[in-house]
Amino acid sequence: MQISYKPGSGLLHRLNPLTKGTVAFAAIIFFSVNNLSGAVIATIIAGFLLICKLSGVALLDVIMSIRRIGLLLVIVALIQGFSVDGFNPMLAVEAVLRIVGVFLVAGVYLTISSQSELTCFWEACFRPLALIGFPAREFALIMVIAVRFFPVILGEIERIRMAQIARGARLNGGGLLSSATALMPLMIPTLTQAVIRAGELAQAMEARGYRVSAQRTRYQRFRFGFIDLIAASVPLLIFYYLLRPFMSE
Amino acid sequence: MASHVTELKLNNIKVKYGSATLLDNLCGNFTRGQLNLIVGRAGSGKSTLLRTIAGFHKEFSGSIMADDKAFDPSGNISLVFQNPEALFFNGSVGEEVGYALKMRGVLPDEIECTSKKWLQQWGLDPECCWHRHPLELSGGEKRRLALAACTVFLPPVVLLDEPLAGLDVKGQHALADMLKAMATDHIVIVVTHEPEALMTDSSSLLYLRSGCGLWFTPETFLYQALSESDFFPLPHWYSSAVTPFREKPALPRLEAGAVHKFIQEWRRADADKL
Ligand SMILES: Nc1ncnc2c1ncn2[C@@H]1O[C@H](COP(=O)(O)OP(=O)(O)OP(=O)(O)O)[C@@H](O)[C@H]1O
Ligand SMILES: [Mg+2]
Repeated sequence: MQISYKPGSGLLHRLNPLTKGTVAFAAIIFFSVNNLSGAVIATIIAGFLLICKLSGVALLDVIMSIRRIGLLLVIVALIQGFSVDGFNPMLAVEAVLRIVGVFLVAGVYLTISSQSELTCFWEACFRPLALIGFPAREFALIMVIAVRFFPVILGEIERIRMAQIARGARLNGGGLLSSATALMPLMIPTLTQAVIRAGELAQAMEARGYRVSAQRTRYQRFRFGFIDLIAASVPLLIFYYLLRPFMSE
Repeated sequence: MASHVTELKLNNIKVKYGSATLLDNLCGNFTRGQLNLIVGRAGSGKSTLLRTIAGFHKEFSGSIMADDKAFDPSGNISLVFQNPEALFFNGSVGEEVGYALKMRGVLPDEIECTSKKWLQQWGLDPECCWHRHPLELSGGEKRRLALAACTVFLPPVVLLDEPLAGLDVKGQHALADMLKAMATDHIVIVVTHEPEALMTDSSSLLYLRSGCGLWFTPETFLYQALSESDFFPLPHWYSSAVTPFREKPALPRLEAGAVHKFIQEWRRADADKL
């Protein structure tokens, strides 16, 4: 149950990679910083899921993956929910909905974007910097791999859980990832594993003859179509919404 | 830590991945006091069966009973994965081996003492690798470490997925001896592509083939493999040496010494007849 690219031919899949990336990032920023009420956020999330469903995105894995951040959600709900005058469940729900929104958008983005589409987006972001000698393509690759590593780290926690059971840890006993305190000592092995994996990945790419600096042609040419035009209005609307407080002055 | 399970019974196990059925209608027993071997072609579902017994793979129907009670794998099994690296999550070899003991509340001094003894038994020098990172070890050393870490707490059911892979010949012999010793008071189930290295007269053999499981004793297995050419690929030396004798009432064990003795005896018998 890992979030990974699932090919498809729906509307969202066919978006231009630049549009996909921009919309996704705008939406992530939107979910992180808006100050809307829980009901509105929930409606937006529901609308987003509906659009995804209609255009045939494989949502199951993304939604199931939320379980993996369950613990984080509980902690955030507790921290956000408590204020000077006791526990306010509304605040807790809002905080959780924001994170779930970010998670869903990121998950769907990764589900509908192939590796080459991701690289294409990041390269486009850094291309202006190439003018001043910045290694845009190398950096884009680093970013793509980093993004791809996010589910790997989640998968890593699952793997360690299995390894513990395989060594006779009891499901209901101590030592298993049942509490936040049990998760903490795992962070270090998880991160070391991630770094080790990154090294292995680099070797694997070199072993297959990958050279970052080689001139490359694109296998796929991406077009900018009519749907992109419509989709592009989403980030515009979001930026308008976010900048509104400053404009009204 | 004595083990109490003497028999693991599979009742009508049916294992699926999504809509694809991998194993169907699998019944049979794994018992204590012998090595239980599982063989089969790549992709026949051997690892999946182990993962099902271990409780990792939940998409199955049927039941697994331990001495007439439903088997609860949690805390009662150890599973050495086909890929030992996937088992490691500690920063050093010492912690890796000690983990299972620590979970069981063993005192630190005792943990260190037992772990070192155990590493030594599995052919790793505890003094030189105690503080090393598990992933720095060589392939064969990783395999040994995985075996040590999974068996140190002596669970009632030990599941091993291709434990011979990546070991040198001496290591394979040592492993076979340790497994046989362990099988006297634990249920040991081993998936392997080289039954010859582990098969003894008292082994039981489960052959997974096109979704079904067939149970054999070593003898019936060898007979069938010799008479049916596409049944199971026995080592070439064995089939060429023993095929001329396959009508005889008994076959030698799948072991060079036994085959040699067997052939000599028949030669002598033939010479006496003349
Ligand atoms: N997570 C999974 N999802 C779907 N199918 C799977 C999964 N894991 C394994 N399979 C399929 O199940 C079948 C059996 O896999 P399994 O790993 O049990 O084989 P095996 O007998 O252990 O083979 P080997 O000898 O190569 O280790 C394979 O065809 C494999 O493709
Ligand atoms: Mg296998």
